[in-house]
Amino acid sequence: MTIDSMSLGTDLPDADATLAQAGVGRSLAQDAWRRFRRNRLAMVGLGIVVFLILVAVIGPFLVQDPTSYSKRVFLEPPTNQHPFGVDRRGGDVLANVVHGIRLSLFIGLLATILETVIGVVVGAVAGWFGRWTDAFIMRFVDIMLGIPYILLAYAFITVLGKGVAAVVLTLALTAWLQTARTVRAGFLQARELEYVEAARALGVPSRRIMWRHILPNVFQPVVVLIAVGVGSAILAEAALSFLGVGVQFPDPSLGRMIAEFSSDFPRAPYLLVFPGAAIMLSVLGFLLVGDGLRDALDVKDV
Amino acid sequence: MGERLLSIEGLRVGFDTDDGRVQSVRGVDLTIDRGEVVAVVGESGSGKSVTALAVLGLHPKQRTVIEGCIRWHDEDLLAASEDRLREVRGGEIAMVFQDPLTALNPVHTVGRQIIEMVRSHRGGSKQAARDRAIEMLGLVGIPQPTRRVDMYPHEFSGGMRQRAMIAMALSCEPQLVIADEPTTALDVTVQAQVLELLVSSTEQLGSAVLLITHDLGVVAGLADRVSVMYAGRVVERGTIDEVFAAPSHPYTQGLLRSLPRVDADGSDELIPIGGQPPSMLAPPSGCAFHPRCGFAAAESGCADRLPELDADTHGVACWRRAEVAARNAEVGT
Amino acid sequence: MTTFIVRRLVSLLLTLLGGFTVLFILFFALPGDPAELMAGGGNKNPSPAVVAAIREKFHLNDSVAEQYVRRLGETVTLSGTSYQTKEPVRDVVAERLPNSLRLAVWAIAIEITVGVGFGVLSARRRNSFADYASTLSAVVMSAIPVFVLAYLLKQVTGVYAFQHNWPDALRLPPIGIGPKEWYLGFIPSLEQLKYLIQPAIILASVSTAIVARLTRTTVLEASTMDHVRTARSKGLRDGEVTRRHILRNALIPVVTFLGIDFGTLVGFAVLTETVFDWPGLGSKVARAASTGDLPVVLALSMVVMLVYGLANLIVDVSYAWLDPRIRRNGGAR
Repeated sequence: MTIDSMSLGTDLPDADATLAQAGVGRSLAQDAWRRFRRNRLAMVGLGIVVFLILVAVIGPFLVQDPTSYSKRVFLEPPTNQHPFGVDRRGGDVLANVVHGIRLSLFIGLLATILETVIGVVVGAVAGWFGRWTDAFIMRFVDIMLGIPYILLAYAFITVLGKGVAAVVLTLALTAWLQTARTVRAGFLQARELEYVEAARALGVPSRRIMWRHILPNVFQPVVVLIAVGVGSAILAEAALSFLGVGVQFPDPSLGRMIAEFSSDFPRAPYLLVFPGAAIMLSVLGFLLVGDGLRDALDVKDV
Repeated sequence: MGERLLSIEGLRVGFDTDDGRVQSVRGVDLTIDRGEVVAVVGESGSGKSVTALAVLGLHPKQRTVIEGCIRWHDEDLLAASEDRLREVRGGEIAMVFQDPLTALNPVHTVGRQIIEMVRSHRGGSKQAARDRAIEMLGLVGIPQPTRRVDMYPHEFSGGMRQRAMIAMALSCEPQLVIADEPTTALDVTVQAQVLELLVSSTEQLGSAVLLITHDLGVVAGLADRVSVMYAGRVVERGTIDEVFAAPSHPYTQGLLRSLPRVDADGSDELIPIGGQPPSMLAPPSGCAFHPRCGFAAAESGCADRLPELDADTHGVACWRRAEVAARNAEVGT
Repeated sequence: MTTFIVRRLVSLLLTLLGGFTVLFILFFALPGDPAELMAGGGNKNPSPAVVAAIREKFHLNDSVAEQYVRRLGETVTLSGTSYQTKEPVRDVVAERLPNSLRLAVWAIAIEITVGVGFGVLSARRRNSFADYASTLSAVVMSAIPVFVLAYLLKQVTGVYAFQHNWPDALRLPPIGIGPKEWYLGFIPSLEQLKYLIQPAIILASVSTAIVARLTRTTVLEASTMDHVRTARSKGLRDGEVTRRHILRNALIPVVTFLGIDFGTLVGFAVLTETVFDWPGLGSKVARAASTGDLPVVLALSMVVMLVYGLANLIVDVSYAWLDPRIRRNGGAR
């Protein structure tokens, strides 16, 4: 190895240019999108999510009013007029499923946004301040995670009451724990990274270190958590509504519909198929997108 | 020279990848006689380890294409049944791998890993195999073998681990030990010791050694013969004395020049070989070394024709052998 | 190791105490008045005198701190009484815990046989039909709500099987605990098995898919490890290589998952228990929580959290036992 080949002659690059390279640049997003696009399952998931959003936005204009009931037909298998059949109240199942998907997405998205805000703030506080603040917060998170999920959900629901708003709050208040943990771990990890240490050594103020290095480091796992979180929230909403403590009649929840239909179940199994498939599709779509993002962003341990 | 143990003839090994066939070994001839120590030297990617693994059929079957002949005594191992290969593996030909930390299973004790090998070749009781394991650990100079036999690989130091690996390889008294970069992963301070041990203990058991290494320096005092590989082919072979006294391939010369020498008076500088090792997905035409070679000349056809080894004893595969040899005389070795 | 276990037990106790406190505060803040609940449920209007008497009897007029301490003692000794059914909490636990344990044990058994089996199969026959099928079903399984799956299964075994005169073994009772015939506590009689099998399958479904996927990944990872090549070079049989050097290493994370999952299944099987009317802990906790039955909620959740915590502890201890590398440094992860 000759000494000439090593670039001792060049000046040290200025701190800001190094920082810009280290942070999340446009190229990273483009890179991730290219990798995401190559992943067939992830693209299927994205297709499902787009389709569901279209159903949620346009669908309600195309189907009849889910709260209008036929006086003549009850428990009818799928026909041309009612492609998904008719339930025991005389309601059109297709209309209920379309509105159910809309409500599921709404609840899933809103709960996840709330949950992410809480999780990021709490995790950031723990990760940034460290020491006893961190110890206290993480101890609390551990305890909450040690309580059976369903019990925690029931506890919140009994306090908050039933219905859509209560479900959203309950889902958010139970789901932020994982996000907080991840964000905090990202902070701790980022502190150890060489480029953060280097930035510190170069005298970059600590607040800027946080914005330019730690947040991007935390940003990627959080994006994955959001996608997976919407899927989990939709599944959890369905479960709570199925158990009778979630969304209440007449709001069109898929889980609530399944609980109702289950009493007519041996006679009219077709009723279960459509709301069941709708839940599955919604959850599947977001899980696949989440998996794809995880691979595309190369995020581990989420 | 004793009885011929192994002779590899025209070996070609290729791997099918998504980007096409990678032809790692492109026609290699190699022989080993009983009790001999033969070194194969080359940089990473030269095909030396691939050759070694091919001898025991250790490449994954799918996507690997092996041609040529690997003659072990009188049978062709490439045509041998899986059952027969199992007898050969460990029983007649044993291997020592590069990194003993990953090559030994972390969840079993060192003793257990030796015992399972002894029992699969020799049968017998667990106790007998265990006694053999202790005996072998003692033979390779591991202190307190009766205690060490029940310890896990991570509880050994790097050098001790490789000694244990050697003990395992020798435990069924193989006729040939293939050592694939046995000291590369070790601390420099123990490399010489472990190599010395490998050669002396195999000598004691009468086993031949095929020593695979990227370091021409380490083979000097240990090997009887050496083959230098480049881009999947042998470019020079001969006895140690021949190759060290009169390196006749530009690549061998380059390797020697890049070695620090104990007898150097300080005026000799270490000269690295310029350029990059070739991609085996699309190796250079003609002599694969020509893009990096200081002697390459268009009129000799270096870039067009593949040179063959020109002699059985001190063989060189080079179109410009005469010029290269002249340079040797000039420098004076 | 002992200090590690003691430390973990202390930490578990702290978590239980913390969980108790959180739940106490949450449910204490509930709008409903437990005294009115006990006096006659939500629908009737109980006489104020009765409510006052109950309030006196259950010390509901005491300060929060006094109630907390009394409640804590009552929960730890399992000496409370259900507001709802007037049943002693101890009896509730005695009835529900074995049912939950039985269901969880059989669910785990299914996860091990089917999940690990399919995982190994997909890893060995990569890209085969079985591989795609198990990967796809793993994805789909994690998206289907278990109650939908449960109804589909019931439709087949409970309706279809009867309509089409399927063999007796496939015609299953839709719900219930069955005749309660258990040998040695966990082995069901044939008649009992008919009641057990469906909830066990449904409870195991999601985790089985996860186990299959996890096993596939870890087996593939372990197969490419250097020590597997060493094992093959020693002349071991394929079966021995797979068993001792691939599975033994690959199953460590799977065992970890199964252990934690067991802790989860015991207390969190609310949906399965509800759909099949299986009288376990999860559904009882849920019902008690929705009616504000504080003594039952607190006692059962402490039991559930204890089982969960112990399962985690056992996993960590067995982890150290399975992987000798972390045995020495006190099992720290």
